[in-house]
Amino acid sequence: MTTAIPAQSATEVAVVPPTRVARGGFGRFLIRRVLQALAVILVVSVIVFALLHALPGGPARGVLGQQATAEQIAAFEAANGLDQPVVLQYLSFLGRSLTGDLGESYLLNQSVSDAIALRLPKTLLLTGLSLVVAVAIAVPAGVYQAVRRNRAVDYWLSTLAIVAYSTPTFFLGMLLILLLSQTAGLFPAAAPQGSGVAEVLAQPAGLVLPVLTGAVPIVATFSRYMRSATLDNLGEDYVRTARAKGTVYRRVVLRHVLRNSLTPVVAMLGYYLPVMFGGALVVEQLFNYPGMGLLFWSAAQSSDFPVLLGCVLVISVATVVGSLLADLVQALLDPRTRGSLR
Amino acid sequence: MSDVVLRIQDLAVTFATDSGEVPAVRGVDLEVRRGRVVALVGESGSGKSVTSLSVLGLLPTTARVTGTVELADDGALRDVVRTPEDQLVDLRGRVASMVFQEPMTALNPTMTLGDQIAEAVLNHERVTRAAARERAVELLRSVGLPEPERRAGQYPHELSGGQRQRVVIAIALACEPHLIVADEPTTALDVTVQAGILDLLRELVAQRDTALLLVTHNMGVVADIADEVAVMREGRIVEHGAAEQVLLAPEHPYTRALLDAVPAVPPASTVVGTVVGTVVGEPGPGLPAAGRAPDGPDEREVVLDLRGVSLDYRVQGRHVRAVEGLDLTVRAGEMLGLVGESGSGKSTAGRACLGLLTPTEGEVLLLGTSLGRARGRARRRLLADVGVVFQDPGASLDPRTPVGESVAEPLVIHGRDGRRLSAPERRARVRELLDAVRLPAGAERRYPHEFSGGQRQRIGLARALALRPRLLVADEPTSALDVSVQAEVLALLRDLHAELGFGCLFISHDLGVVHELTDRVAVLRAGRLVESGPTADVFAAPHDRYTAELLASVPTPDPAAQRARRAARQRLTAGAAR
Repeated sequence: MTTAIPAQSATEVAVVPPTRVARGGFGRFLIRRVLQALAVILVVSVIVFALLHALPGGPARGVLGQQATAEQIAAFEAANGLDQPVVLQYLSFLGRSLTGDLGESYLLNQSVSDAIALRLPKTLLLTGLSLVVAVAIAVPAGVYQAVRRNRAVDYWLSTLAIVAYSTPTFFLGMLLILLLSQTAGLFPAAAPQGSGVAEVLAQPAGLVLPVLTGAVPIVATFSRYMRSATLDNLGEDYVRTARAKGTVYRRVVLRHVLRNSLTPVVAMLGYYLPVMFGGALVVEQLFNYPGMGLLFWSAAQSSDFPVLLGCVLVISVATVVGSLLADLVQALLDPRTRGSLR
Repeated sequence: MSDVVLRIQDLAVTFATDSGEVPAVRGVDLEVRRGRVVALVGESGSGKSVTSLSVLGLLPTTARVTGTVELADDGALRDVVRTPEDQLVDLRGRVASMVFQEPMTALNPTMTLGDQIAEAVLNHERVTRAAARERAVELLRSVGLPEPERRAGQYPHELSGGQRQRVVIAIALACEPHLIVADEPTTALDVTVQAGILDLLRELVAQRDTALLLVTHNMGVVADIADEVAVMREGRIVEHGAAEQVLLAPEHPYTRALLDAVPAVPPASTVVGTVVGTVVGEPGPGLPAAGRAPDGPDEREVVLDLRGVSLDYRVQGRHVRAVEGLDLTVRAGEMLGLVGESGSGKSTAGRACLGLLTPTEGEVLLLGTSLGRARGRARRRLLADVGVVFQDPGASLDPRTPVGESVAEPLVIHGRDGRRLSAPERRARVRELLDAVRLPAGAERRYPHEFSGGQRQRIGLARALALRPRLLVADEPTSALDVSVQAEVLALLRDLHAELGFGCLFISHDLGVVHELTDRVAVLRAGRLVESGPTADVFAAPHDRYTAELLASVPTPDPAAQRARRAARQRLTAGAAR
């Protein structure tokens, strides 16, 4: 323990969280991040556009079905501009997107923007509720496990988390339907239908299973993060200082350790947003919940290109916004980076 | 007996590990009285920190404790070992409190300093939050932090290491305990900062009639502050007595060996005479720095020549100058000490000599050739003539590579005399090198973790010398080692230096080591060279006030001499304040 004077303490460097919020104030930070976001979204749209057009058969075949004649297909392609070079198609898509026009769905008899506007709030509701439920369970569970490290409770919760994490969402959903709906009859197996968020909220019982199915994998993941973050912090020197001044252990955990452990975990949630959209795809399909996931799913099934592109754009925006939120939350929670946010 | 604040009797602590019970403390008896400063000294693994942690019952749960550790509480003695955790909470901070080694991590990064101090008050006293906050501000004032009201609202990262340690001391003082346990409170700090913290502790203890149990490895710190000394070795106290007695006339051979291993600091009487205004840091290129040539011009080849080197770091997009216009020369067979406190740029300068950093201005010449202009193969050949030893011997060796391979690596990369070495030739050379650093046969096949810190640093030295370099850059090579081990490694370095005749740039914060080892010294402060010249001359009569203050801040193990040094330093700093 008698190590003498590391000239520049390694620990000092290690405690500074890897947030890139500095450099010339909050305004510039935000501008830089938004520009980055736009670049990312642009690149994603190029990739998706290219991939869609690389698919064999093309959208006409997908939309019109196997029995469609060559004339029908040619007419469809001409009507939707699919007979033009891909680059031109992309540029016209890009030009229209900039004005907010994402095109018309081939099948829904609806503009893509309308289709998304109708479904996005419902998906946000579902994922938002899942997230709240998940965090409400994962954070206390992780802290409790860390405090009871290597005891029976810790092992059982860890095992449970690993099982929950490795169970595919669709299987988990079916299992929940079987147990809680078919057998116990507690909750309906189908999600509430309806065109608006208000209508969905009016039938809370129907939301239980979808929300639970969405929440379980997040609980599994984030209770692990929370456990290890809490363990790391329990080993920190400041915990010993707090104990040495006579702070009750419970308060040491809740007042000192929790806040410091929460920062990286909460920030991680931001990066998790796109994963949750992916989860919605399965959950909505399983419970027949009319949100973005179901829209994406059916568009993919029927090669409804404009809708697919629109959905991908929404998801990439969510990804970018999520990581931006992650950085902001981290910077706000941690005084070491807060100074640069003024 | 009523003035006893801590009485430890027959304390034994063992730790349960995977390989069975490991004893850390084996029967310690110690008594600390009101207002006394008792130093617990020893090297790593002696059990001194474990003893200190047991005073507040802060040992990890893997520890098994026997014996008694009694703290005086309202006239009664309470045995910490047998007090349950929920009652210990009441003793901690109120009856006895603690100051830790690493101020950088000892404070909660997301809580204001005021709140962290107020928490200690609120833990033990029924006062309002506002009253506790006011007390916190008062405490910050009493530990000598300027603008305590503003400080109370700040977070730890806004303070320097020394300032943070003052906050930790404020927390320890908050409930006016009878005893403060300080575990290496100044070890992580620069000497000038250390001197300030020691002054503060001495003053506070005297003012408040508090006892201080000071755990340290530094005999100079002991001489500076302690009334009594207990020397620990392998879990036992081998010698205990008044500080003067133990430091000046040690009875136990271990104490004597420990004191002998402490590098001698230049005497205190000479550090006062300060002449300001000498032109420093402007030697002509190729001349010995500061132009203080010994008898006649130095004919030895210049192996390292820094000409007006400036180095920048990029921190969050901004350029920060770490080194400004540095001129240095190292000749073959010479040892140049580069000293300075943390942040002075001394390690940065060392990295530039290794080609790891490119100067923003100026140039680095190795053996008369500009490193900056050399490219490709020529650059590699040039760098083959430079060896390097880093501070942390554990971290600078690959844990999964046998040490023989680590030592052979430079030979594999560079070959020798422009040709590749065969495997038997390499093996022979590795053996030769390990012999030179006095490692036993068979060491080649073993892994770094099987060696002690001192042995690992010797392995690092063997690797550095594998190519028979003309220049060795040693960056704090012994800072992580105990004094007795440091003495061995330094003796080895001195022998090898005499035998092989390489030039050596010895980077260190430890003026004692530099004083013992080097021919010339250069003092860096905030990236600038403040003074350079023959070590004996500079240390005997520093021309720069900063050098003088630095020298006076180094504590020496002789209590009387240390008092004189302290007085000298206080005069210097008072002079600077005026």
